[in-house]
Amino acid sequence: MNAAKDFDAVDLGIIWSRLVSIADEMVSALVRTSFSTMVRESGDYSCMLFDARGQFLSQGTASVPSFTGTGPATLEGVLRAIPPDTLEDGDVLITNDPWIGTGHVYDVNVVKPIFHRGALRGFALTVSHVADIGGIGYGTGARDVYEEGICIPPVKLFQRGAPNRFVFDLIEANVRFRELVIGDIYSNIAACNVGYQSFNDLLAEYDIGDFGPVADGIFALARTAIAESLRGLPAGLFRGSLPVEGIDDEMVLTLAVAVTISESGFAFDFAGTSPVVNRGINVPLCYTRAYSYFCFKTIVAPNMPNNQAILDFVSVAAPENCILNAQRPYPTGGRHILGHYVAPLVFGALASAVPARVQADSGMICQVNFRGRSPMGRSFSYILFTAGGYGAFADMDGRAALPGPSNMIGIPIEIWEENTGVSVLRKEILPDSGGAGEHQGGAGQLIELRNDTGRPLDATFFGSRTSLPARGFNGGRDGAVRTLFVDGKPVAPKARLDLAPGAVVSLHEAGGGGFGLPEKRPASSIRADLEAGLIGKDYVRQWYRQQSALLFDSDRVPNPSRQPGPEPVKEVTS
Amino acid sequence: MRLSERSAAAAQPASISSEEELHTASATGRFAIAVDIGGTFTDFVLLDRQRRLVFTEKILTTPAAPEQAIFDGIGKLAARAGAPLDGADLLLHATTIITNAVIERKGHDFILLHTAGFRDILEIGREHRYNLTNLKLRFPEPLSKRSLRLAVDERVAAGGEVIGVPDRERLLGGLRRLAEPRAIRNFAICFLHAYRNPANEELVRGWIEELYPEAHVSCASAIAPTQREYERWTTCTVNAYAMPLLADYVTRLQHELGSLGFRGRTLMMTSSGLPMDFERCVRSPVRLIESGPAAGVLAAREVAGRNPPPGADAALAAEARIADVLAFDMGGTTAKGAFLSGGQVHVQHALEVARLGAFEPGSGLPLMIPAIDLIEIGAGGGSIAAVDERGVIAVGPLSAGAAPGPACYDRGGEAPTVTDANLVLGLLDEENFRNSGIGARRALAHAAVEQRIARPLALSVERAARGIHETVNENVARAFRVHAAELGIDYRRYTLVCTGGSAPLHGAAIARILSIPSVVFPFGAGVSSAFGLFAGKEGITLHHTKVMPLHEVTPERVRAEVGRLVESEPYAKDLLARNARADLTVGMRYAGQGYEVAVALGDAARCHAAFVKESFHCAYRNIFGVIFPDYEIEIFNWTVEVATDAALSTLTGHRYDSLRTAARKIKGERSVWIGQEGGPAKLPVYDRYALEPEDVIEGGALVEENDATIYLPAFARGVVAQSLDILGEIRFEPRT
Repeated sequence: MNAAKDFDAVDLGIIWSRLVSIADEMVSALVRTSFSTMVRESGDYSCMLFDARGQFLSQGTASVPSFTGTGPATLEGVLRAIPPDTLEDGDVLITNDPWIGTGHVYDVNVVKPIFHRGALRGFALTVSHVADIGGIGYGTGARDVYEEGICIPPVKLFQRGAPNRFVFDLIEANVRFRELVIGDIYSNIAACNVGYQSFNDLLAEYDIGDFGPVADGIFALARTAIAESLRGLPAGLFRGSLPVEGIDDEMVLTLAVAVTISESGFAFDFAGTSPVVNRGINVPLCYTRAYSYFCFKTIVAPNMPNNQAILDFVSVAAPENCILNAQRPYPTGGRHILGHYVAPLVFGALASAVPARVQADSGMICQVNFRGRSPMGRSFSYILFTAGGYGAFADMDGRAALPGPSNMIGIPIEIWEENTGVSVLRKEILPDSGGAGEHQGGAGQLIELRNDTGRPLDATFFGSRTSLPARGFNGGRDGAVRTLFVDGKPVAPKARLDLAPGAVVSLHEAGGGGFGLPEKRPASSIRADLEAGLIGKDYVRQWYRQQSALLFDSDRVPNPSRQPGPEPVKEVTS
Repeated sequence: MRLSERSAAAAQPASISSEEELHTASATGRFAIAVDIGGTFTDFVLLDRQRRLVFTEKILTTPAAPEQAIFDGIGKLAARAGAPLDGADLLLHATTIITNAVIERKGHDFILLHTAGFRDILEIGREHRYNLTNLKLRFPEPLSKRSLRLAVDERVAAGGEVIGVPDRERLLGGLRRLAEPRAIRNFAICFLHAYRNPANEELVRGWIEELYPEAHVSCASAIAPTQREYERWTTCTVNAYAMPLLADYVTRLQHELGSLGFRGRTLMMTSSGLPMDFERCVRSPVRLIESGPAAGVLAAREVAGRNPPPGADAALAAEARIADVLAFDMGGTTAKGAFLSGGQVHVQHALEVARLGAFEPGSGLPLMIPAIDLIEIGAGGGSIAAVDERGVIAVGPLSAGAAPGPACYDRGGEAPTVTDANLVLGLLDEENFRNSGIGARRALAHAAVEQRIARPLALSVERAARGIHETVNENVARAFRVHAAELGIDYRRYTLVCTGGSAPLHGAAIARILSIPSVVFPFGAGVSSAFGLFAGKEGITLHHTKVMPLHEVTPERVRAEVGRLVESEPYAKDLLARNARADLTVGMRYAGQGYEVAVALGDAARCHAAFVKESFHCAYRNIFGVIFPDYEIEIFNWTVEVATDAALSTLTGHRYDSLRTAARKIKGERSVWIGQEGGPAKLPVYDRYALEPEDVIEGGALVEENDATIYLPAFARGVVAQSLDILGEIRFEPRT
């Protein structure tokens, strides 16, 4: 049997890749077997692997930031309730406790202990957003977590390979769309089984018993690499604060952070953040932590596979019952609405310290949850995710209609219409919505939907950036705000309302912020955007006044000393 | 193909049974020719049916005018074989022309007609970042110019009802305004839900063809009749972008062939492994996007089909053949893999091409065409090794390509590549490169590995080179393993078949990582895709989306659905009139799921609901390990493969013209730095052309042929089969 000292850096690199590969295999199985559109169309899942100590080995490449490094705390919480010495081969554990899992009850976490030659050698963990979890349904309307659905404490769903019927019955009795929910739980189990088998194969191939020393060898490599990357960053304390929209027009909350960069990593302190509220937008600390990890990774090691050693460079503190550290029983259903803002908060705080590594604010995603019956009579609950514009960087424009920091996947219009009977009348890039700058923010979208189900439809909106736009960084301008309409009348950003048959919902998705002074944007780039229809002439005159003289004949200021500029563009006709 | 033992074959050709004769389609002329154009080389195989000889040739590709290499090569081959072109009845062709046009952006502009309100579908894409934590992402530019888009007021509902008919005069007015200034006569029609009902797309196609009879028109509903507008429209844009190019190429090729006296049939390999008539290909160029790799997979199938399965008792199972195959091809820039189960290739309907950067899924153009399910990895001989941000060795996906090429080529490349590592390790020798006219220098490879890998990691140069070799093996194995998980395949009982120039060097080690006990090293691995062309069956894959709940399934309804698909395609009707068969595969799922499981149903006559249900559950359980007996089931999409019964040509009973009777089997020995602690080991180097059936080669050993070197590590041994392929056996002990 090998001790870790027998593996050199080359071997450890290969085994490290294998661990990521195993997590990716789990993802394949999860996506392929899932019933929930949240998983297969929106990517709302993650798969992870641990050693027997609960040290985090690898995470599937495909995931969303909300799940960055959530696994260690989840596993710890589960094992606190079900100690490792009570585990047997063939057990499968489950929980959706927001404070153990990933911040709201809709995410189901499944853990399978991995036994090899009779001994506990590791854990496979998967998490996915299920179609329903009971309660008042997906939204921010709950006054406490109990209204949001059934909470499954850590429990053995399978014991030595045999299903615990009581747990299944309990879940089935408490959820809508039980076939979908149970199907999705099985899909998590299928993914864990893949992790179990492949980790076993790895241990056999390398004749490893206790994986701990090998993991430590890999962690040492990661630590060395991170330490090296950290040396390139300025040490110090960097503060930022960000006003964000609450649940109605009046409510503005403040998120605040102090980031200490040192050779031991990033320490995040969210002191100064507003207190919790009595609607479902409160954020448990596990979610705040996931986004803190995410920011650290994007800045320090964007391409390095995630593991325990990397997480150990990050510490997170937040006052109890500030809105980024909500305690039970505050409702957390829409925890992502505020939680996503941790990324722009941190990027803003670090914009002066590491400008080349941060992103101006993005227009972020908008969610509308539609519940009703399709024309074929099937009852449905689907969330339409649509992306605003992507924030610009110091060296790159923001792309139109790209989510950031969260990373959902848009549902094809044809699948959407077929499943819901809600017609999409229009879905195009919204010109002039990106923020000007040396690098321009990405444009938002213009989307129109009509209730063609023939019945009233229950619609819940999760709109943000409706009054507070995506900020431009370092002189870049803000993006346009998001506006939501029903039949041409503005609606509250987090409204829940009935849509009459024929009612038309319009979403003007927010643009991303620009980066750097608009005066520095090359005329050729402005011309290209004009030709592509991303901006119009008036926008150019308003935000790129200097360059407009070069671009439009009529704006040209007579200047005999000046060489003739590039050819003026023709008016774009549609 | 079953090649007889050399000594006997030299005296008299092995006899071919009459049954095998019957299974050869259209074998009327004396010669048949297969040409595979690759990125670096164009490969040829010529079959002399009269003398039962196989000739191969390899010459440099001529990217500017690919047909030039074809005629040069055919000329050379014809001279060697004494084969005048008018004696040939068949020319088979695999080409990279479409792929290159897309990757290098060398296609033709076209006007995109789209449903009004959806101009930006191609830019908006899936609204997804393909890399989670690297925020600065590049995406492929759409092939459609934004200035060449025309919004059309029309609408088909999700259920297929036409709820808005386009206005002819308005449409043609707008069209003329866009088309006339630059005389654009190339059009792509992309309407929402047209996969359900193509009426509006067809209507508009008719108007355009009336206005511009010479126009090229691609309808998304015909090119990719499948749900998901972004992917379907993208597929259609690739088709339009490449169509004028292919039309010109085929015209030039036909003309030149005609003037050389060729009167036979001409077919090109499509991505699904079914060669199609040149003329039919011109209407669907996007189907040729994986032409060469598809031929490579067929070659692997052919190789498997001529060798006994591992452990077969020769006396008891003389007719048994390898059926479960992992086809592995490794060339200069990429490696490819494909699983074949029970001798069948997996054909799927989604792939991605022209990926940016690190070959990351989501970074390319998604296509929905029938294609052999291929795994593509940025791992080839030219893949560059570096120390990555983890502080360990990373290999690929960046490639040194043909220029500057690996450091050892001395053409300005400074980065160490896989080929450099193999040269340092002694797996390759400077001599190996001379055939291809390359003067490789080991000292340069050594210096590159030392500078970029060994020194930063404080390792010996040989350890560093071994690390590169092992890392690329792990990368390939990893991609195969993850893909197997998607398919629910237990790859450990598959046989790895190594084709392409670099695969035989890495195959045995990759097999061990994957716990695969048997590997086949085919004869002529360097030109195997050209061999694979002969194994194709002429045909076409038809496909569409139509939901049918299980309770509605009856043999009559299924037959009607198959009939509808066949009716829509004259080429398929023509094939059926010529003895082809129609095989049905459906994509099924539990209602509410978004991914389908392929269920082979074969003949519509047996498609009673109970049979279909059982077939689905069987397939679902195979992949996922569970089934849900009470859940609602539906058929979602329909694939009918119309193909001839027999391969286009058979190599049965033919022998290679390159065998050397009198050569020594071991031609030398070489110091190899791998699999050993401390110093190098002296390994024997075998001459492939001198080996005879039943020869046994104990690892470690090297076996050389013209375009490929086989490495048998100490944990492997090779047995030369009757086919002259080498069957490798892998022993499993834990690594030391």
